[in-house]
Amino acid sequence: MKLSSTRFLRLLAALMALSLIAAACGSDDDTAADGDGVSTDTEAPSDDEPADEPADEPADEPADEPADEPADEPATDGERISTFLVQPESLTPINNTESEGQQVIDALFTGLVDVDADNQLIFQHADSIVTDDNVVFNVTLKDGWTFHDGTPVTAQSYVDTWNYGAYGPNAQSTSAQYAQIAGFGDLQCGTAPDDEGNEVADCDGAPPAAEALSGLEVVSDTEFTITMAEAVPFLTTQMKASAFLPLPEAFFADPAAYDRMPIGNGPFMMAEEWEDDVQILVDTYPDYQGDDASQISGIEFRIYADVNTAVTDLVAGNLDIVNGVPPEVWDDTIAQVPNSALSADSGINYLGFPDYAPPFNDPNLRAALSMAVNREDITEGIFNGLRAPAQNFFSPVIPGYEEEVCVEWTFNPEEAQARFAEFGGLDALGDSLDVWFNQGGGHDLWIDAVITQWEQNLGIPADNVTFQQLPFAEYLELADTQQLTGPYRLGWGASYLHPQYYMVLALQLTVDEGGNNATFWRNDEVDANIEAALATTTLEESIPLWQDAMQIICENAPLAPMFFGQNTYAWNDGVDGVFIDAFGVIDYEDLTQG
Amino acid sequence: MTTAFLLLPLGCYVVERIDVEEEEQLVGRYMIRRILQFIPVMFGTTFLIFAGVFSLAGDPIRALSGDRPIPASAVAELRDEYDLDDPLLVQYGKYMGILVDDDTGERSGLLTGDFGVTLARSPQPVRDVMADKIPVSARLAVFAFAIEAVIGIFAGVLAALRKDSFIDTLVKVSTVLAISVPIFVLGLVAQYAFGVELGILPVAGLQEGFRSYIMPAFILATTSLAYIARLTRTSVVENNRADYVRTAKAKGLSPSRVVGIHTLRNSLIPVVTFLAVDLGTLMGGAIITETIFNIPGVGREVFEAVTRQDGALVVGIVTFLIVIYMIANLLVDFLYAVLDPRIRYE
Repeated sequence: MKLSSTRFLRLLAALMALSLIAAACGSDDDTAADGDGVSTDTEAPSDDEPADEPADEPADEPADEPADEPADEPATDGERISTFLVQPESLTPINNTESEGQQVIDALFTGLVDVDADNQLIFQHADSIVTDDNVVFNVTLKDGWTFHDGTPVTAQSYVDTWNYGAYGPNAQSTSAQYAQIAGFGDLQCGTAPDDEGNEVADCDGAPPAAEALSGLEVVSDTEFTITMAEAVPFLTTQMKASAFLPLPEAFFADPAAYDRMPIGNGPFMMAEEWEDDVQILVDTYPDYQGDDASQISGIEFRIYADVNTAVTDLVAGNLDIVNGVPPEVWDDTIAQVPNSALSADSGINYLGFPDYAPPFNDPNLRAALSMAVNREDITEGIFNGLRAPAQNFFSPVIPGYEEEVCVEWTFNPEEAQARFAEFGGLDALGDSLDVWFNQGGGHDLWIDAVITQWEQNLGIPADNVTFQQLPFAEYLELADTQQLTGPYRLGWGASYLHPQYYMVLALQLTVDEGGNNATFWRNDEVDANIEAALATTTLEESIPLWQDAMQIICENAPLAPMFFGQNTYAWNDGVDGVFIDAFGVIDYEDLTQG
Repeated sequence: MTTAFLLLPLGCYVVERIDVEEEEQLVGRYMIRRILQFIPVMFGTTFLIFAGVFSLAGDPIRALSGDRPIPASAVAELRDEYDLDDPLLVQYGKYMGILVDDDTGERSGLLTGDFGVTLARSPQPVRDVMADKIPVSARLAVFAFAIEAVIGIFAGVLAALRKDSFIDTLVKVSTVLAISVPIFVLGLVAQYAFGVELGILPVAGLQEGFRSYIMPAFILATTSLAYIARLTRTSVVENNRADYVRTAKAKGLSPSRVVGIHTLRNSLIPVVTFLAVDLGTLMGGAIITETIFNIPGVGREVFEAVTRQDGALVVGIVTFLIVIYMIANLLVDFLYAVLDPRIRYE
């Protein structure tokens, strides 16, 4: 019964080993194919449209026949500029709200408006946007713009896209952006009772009443009107958000396929399909009509799991640009990389106090906790000076920003102690304090510093503090459903640069109302100021009203701003003209080969 | 890939039919029994993992929208699309393809070869994600596997034969070092030394094909390599004292024959056992290496899928890993008999 010596078993073992090796070798051939994107991309563009032949040239031919370049084209010799990217969630503009996807979307698309390097609004595809009453907007488009597949960008493109985005069952993540356009409610799913008898949204049982926004009307190929449900003075500014970009016919035919290789109308076009966790390659679009045309041949968005790896690649000279260099490696990085810069970002990090969870409904306690934190110590000590201390909820890039709003948001240990005593001191606080934040964002360091300052300045023993560190999904759910029991961390960043985006969406409306106010603190005076601000016709008129609202919020301190984000970026000599805007996106039109 | 692995043992069974000896029939029966055992294991593990992801706290759809909430309509539609409001057993039934899906009115799931779609803003078929990531991880794992098997066994044998010599001490000290230094330290140091300072290997990514795998494979192999060297060394030292080795030497066999045929073959049993288990770990557990060297592999994908609470993707990939484990174990059980004449199949 012994088997050991039979030839069969040897054969079997050899066979299995061989097939394992074969499997490995077989897949090795794949690597060669998808490993070196640069050499294989000659064939990639030929897959799509035969029409855009000239588009293939810039990237592919620099080495062989530079003489082939058309004379009137910008100098697009050379390789693509490579830049660090985190894997985006989606490349479809109306389905993307995160900054990673925005990096690519900004390269692929150009909307009606944009902001310049000084954060001033400029018209791009819009020739004019006219309104008398902030209710009806008449938009005319510049003629002759085309999508990367050659089809024209018309008023219909915009209207179709916004209708699709607003339609509830399409579940697009930007759909809240259309909420003020007339008829939005008719595109939402109805409600039906769930098992417990609560009315919840239910698209199958109660489909939307309409498929198109009644507020959108196409006048001609280059003109359409937008009717809002109520006066919206910031609509033109809001159009910077990616929800308001146009999408081509190809999107509606197959949204899933489109997301892998989006066809935009911007200065760059996809060179090949998005390779998950590896790269997104874009080339200059030769027929681009906008003012911000590319001066380079293309961009290689190299996707990294960890920014530290990207920094190492930057230092080794394998990568051109990295934004978001972590504070702890900043000094080392700028010592080894020839160029670096800082610029203001729209982001803010803050500590919120749940108004529904006593004792945090006491303004004295909230003010004491806010005033006891030396924000400068944190930005210097923890962030190496690469964040800016925040004493306002409006970020510095938002119109109406002031450095200081009121004493409650300013470091003042004496006053903090007084307010803490007024609240009732440690006895009233009890001997446990929960501090909530999400895992994985590196927040533990600075929150630890905040707790140390509370100990120093208020005498709250750090031993009494419990870190409630949770995965993001779990954390957000607790925040939305009023289950936090102490100070919590959240952040906010702009989709468009207007006070309304901060005041209404982050501070006023709760999650159920379409905002992100997790303190659940509301105040009639604030609401009245917001209403008045929204009733004005110009931004200048509204700014004092926004500032008044912020003043009231500051005095009540339902939350405490901690620090503003900054773009911390470095780049190698292969590229010039690197500037990163308030949205954390490179201004691609300024890039040149170094 | 998965089906290829499943068919592999069946192919071998056909080979067995050609060679007709009564022992082979025993092997055949043994093999069929082992393959049948795959079935309950598959069901059990997929269910446990599915239930594990299901039980994670928090709403994955809410996490998808992040800081900026999406309207109730959109949330309801997404929850419905991913069947998130169903009880666990119903969700599992739909996922496996036992129950009918309300949206399509069809039965489609793991059992019908449909792995479902990922839970993401831009959902993709899980099958595509696996087809993307598995070859990358497989290449890395096979490369690391070869490194640890060849160098580990060689170093172990060398150390055992020259027991207490300089080489032995060197192997002992370096393996202790390799085991005790965390892999991310080794990875980052190697990355800086070979990638940045010397510039002879790529820092990260897969842009340079085969060369891109060299450093990560060595780093990934380091810990196991050290274990294998130590395991081999101990085992060979022990067997060198065995009666049959003394007999072989007394018969006047050449030293290389004594070591190669008699000592090593018997000494390899614990090593082979370790290697088999390690193959699965190399495939699915290379999260740190994959992150440091920015390799889009299975380990990172599973980790991210768990944090996203993406049940379909987690179960899909883990199912594949289970198949790898089971096949590797089966392979090892057969290798035992090749290595040690005393082991039989009954």
